[in-house]
Amino acid sequence: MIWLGGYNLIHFQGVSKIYSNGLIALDQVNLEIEKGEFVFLVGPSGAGKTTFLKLIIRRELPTKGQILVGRKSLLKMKEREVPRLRRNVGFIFQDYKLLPNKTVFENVAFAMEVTEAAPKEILRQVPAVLELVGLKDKAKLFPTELSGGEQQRVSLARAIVNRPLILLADEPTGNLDPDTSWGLVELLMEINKRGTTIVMATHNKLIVDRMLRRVIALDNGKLVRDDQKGVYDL
Amino acid sequence: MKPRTICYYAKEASMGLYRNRLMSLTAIITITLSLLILGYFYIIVSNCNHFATMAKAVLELRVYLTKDADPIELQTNMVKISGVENVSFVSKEDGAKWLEKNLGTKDLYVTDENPLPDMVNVKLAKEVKLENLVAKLRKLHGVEEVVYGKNFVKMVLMVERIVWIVGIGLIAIVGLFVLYIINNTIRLTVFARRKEIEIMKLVGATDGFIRWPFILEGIFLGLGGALVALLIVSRSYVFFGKYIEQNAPFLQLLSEQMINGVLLWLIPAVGFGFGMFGGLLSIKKFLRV
Repeated sequence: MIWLGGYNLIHFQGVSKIYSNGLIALDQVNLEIEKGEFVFLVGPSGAGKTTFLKLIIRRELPTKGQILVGRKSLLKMKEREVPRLRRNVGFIFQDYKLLPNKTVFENVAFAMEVTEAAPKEILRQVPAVLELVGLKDKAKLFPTELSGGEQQRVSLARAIVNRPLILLADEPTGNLDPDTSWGLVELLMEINKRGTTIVMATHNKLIVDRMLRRVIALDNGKLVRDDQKGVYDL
Repeated sequence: MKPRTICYYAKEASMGLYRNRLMSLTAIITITLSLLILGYFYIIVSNCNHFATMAKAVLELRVYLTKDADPIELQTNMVKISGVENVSFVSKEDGAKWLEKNLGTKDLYVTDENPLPDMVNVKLAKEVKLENLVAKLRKLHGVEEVVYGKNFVKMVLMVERIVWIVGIGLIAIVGLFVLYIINNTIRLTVFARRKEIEIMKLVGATDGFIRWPFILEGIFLGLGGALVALLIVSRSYVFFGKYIEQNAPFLQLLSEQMINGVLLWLIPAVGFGFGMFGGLLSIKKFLRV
């Protein structure tokens, strides 16, 4: 582990999340994620992985406990400060969530447009990011004209185009074949090397075991394991 | 707000309107209809007001004198009352002549004696509390009776009040209906774009940024309806004015300039307000992501 920052980027202290239907998604979770880390979040479906990620971008608020992201308390955060938080946290999904009526370029540019970035900046940044994910030649295509792996890379490009500090990935390889999955993870590693902290929720045992990175395991909302050079299961 | 952003909002809003053009058209027609009601309501109320003022302005009171009254003294006392512009004395002989002339007969009365009383015409100043003035006149010595077009003024005022009550009620009901229609129209756009909204929220768009295109869509609908309504109301008022002029020239309507002067801002302002509020309502629920 390389110590890059002077503080913990993500800080969970006694965090519980109970949904209104009584479901306990997270139960007394304590953990720290440092700047520059690459963390796998594993556990069976319904273990609370997605809730964990949603809490970081404040799509949900915890029922109990304290969450700090970049030293800022998400509980004390005002509603109007949330957009700024989210510009610093990229998010990719299993189902990509691309807009079908926009081209690859427009889908990525969209994330910058909504932050009212200058057109000049957009024209410079979007091609650069598309090049990074290897889709420079497909900028004018629509999502439906791309393979699953390519679509996920568009979604990745959109997530990092605003240069977030943190990248959250919710089972990004869930719909991809093994080779494509590995390609995506290599890309994530590249992005991680450039300084972005990555938290990836996954069921992909192969990838986790091969990467030997920090593994956080959740089960029934409880943090059951936190290994520095972990594998998928013991 | 940057000009570029405003362009973006306008583009998104127009796209929303176009995508649901049938519903948009329905919304515009509904808005037009309701603003028509508002426009005509305003025309009727302001004309009633106008009539009432006019009726007061041209009002002459007729004060019948008792037989023992001293016309000179009485007139001096009358002009002292505030609200009285001037007075003129009509003797019973003059009254008889006037009647003979207007009725076209000399056989007015059975006996030789003139049954008419002496009379004083009182011209009123424009701003006057009619009832008070009449009461004061009645107290003067030598006044038998004060006659004036009380019923006419009362009737005009009553019509005005009825129009007010019915109009306000109608506008309230129609207003709610308009909000409902606008709300539903824009909700279609919101629904069609809920995925986009979700992504916008995720990548850190502010609520304002997400909200504005929909508010603008509402405003476009409101102003569109207002424009049509304005055209219809003002054109029809001109037409109606000409009709009245030809067929009932004694009714002096307010000039079209005066009416249009108010409607020109009233109708667009109300359309704008309805549209904006409708847009706000429709997006509210979807922002909680």
